[in-house]
Amino acid sequence: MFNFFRVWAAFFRRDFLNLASYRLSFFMALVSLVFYLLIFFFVGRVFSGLGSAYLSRYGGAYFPFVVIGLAMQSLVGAGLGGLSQVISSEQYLGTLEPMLGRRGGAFRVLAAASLSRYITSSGRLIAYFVVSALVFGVSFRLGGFPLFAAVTALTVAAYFGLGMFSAAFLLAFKQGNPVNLFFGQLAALLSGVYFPVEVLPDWLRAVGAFIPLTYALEVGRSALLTGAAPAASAKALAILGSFAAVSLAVGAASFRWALVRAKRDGSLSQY
Amino acid sequence: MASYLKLSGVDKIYRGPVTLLKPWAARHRIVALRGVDLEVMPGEVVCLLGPNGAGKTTLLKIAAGAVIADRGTVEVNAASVGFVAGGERSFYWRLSGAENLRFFAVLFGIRGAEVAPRVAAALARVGLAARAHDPVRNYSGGMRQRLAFARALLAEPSLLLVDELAGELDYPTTLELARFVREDLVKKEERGALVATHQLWLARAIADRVVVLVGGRVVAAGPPGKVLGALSARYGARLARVDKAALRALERRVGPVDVQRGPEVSFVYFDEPADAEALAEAFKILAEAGASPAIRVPEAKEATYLSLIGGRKDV
Repeated sequence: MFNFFRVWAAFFRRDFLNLASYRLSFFMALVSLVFYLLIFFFVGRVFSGLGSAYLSRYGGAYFPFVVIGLAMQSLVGAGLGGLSQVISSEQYLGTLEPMLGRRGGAFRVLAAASLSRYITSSGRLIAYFVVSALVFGVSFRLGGFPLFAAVTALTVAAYFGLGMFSAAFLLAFKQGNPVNLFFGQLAALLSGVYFPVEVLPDWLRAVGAFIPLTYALEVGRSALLTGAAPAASAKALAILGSFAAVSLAVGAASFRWALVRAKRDGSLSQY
Repeated sequence: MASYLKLSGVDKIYRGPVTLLKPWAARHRIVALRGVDLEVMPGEVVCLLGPNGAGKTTLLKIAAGAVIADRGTVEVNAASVGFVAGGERSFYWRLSGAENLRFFAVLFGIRGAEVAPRVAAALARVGLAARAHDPVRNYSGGMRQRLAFARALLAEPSLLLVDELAGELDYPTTLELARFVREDLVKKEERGALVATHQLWLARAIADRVVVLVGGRVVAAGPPGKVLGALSARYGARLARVDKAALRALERRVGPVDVQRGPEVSFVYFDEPADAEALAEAFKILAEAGASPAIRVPEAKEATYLSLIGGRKDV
């Protein structure tokens, strides 16, 4: 386990040095986040004072509601696409085979590489909260952060598993990834990132119930916007925990299978 | 003495992708290796020779663990294996040489306090210590090739696998690298090395044994002098025009001929025939075809190797 974290730290250091060599890009990412929030800040003003029934259970205001949606979406994006992005970029750079060309350890190396992406996305998640609080004056319930941290940990686990499943598709078929389509793009529509799921027709809400982000957003918003007690979110947390257990098991098994298949096909470095 | 690497009856067949238009059609099969036996002993350099697509890189990747063989056994008895991949795009170009090695050192399982001295030692061994902190994007092709060797040496491998030692390096750099591999790494330190190369002179210079692959099969193996043949004499002549009838007549007398066509002049090369009468007849045929007098070309004699690989010249 210690070795795993050393590999993780090596990836983090490498990514940081690489990022630091593109200083303007780092600054522009922050500016872009502020602009993105500005759009939703003004959209929120359209609804302010209208007293939407859909938003009442989330404290009534649209902007804090969507900030949590955007922050969580950026986190799950790193989980879902992190491992695939690592594999793709190392394939393009020509570094995948030197990285994995040794006997054994390939799974550990790639898992550590994927987890290092969470550091970056965690920074973005924190930036969403800090910028929206300091620049746009949003107030979050500080007492809800422990519950938010717990739901974030379960979400990271669930999407790390889905990320491995997604990377297995990439290794096996190179292009075309149904996992990203369903749990990434469709999740933005069905999980309530931009609007409460209550506005969706019942049958679409039923589909959204199969997406972990739906539960993560429900619990996260309850914790930070209304200060709900953990007990009130027990069912959603249990479902999210089950998602995490299943996706980690299925993700790890499928990723190992795809890695062996790629080595058999000799296609590890092909894209 | 136990070998560092032993391949027995190794087969590898690549299968093409399923085509969308004809998913029921059989997948295209490419035989990369067929029944390959190969051994690398401590203190030995084995060179893999063969035309493009012969299976050299596949064999190296199987030995490195990057590709899994379909059949046969692969025994790696070396404590550690270092793989020098072909091509130079296998580093992070915005990071320095030292930072690249530091990253790979951790991936190779080298622990905390050992990383920095190992990186420094590897860079010093390949002569890159002075440029250790320059970004790799500022390295020349030769420096990147040396950095690839430094990466392979990080884990202090007893077996070194090298895909294209020369690559696109110039002659002096290749010569220096070849000396480094044979004398320093293998002979002094008792490592084993399996080196794929296109350069016959390089194989002669560094190999204790050569293994010639054609179409995935080993067609010859042994000491380079024996496998590649004693340097038999070869003759060349400048042709006034490419006269196919004359060339056919020449082939009947001396065996296969090698015609190199140019925009203005063409040349024909052939191996010295066994009997003097055939050689005299060849001179006569060339003279009648208006060619220049045939001369001996001792530096271009790779006839044995060409015959081994079926007359192919893309080696």
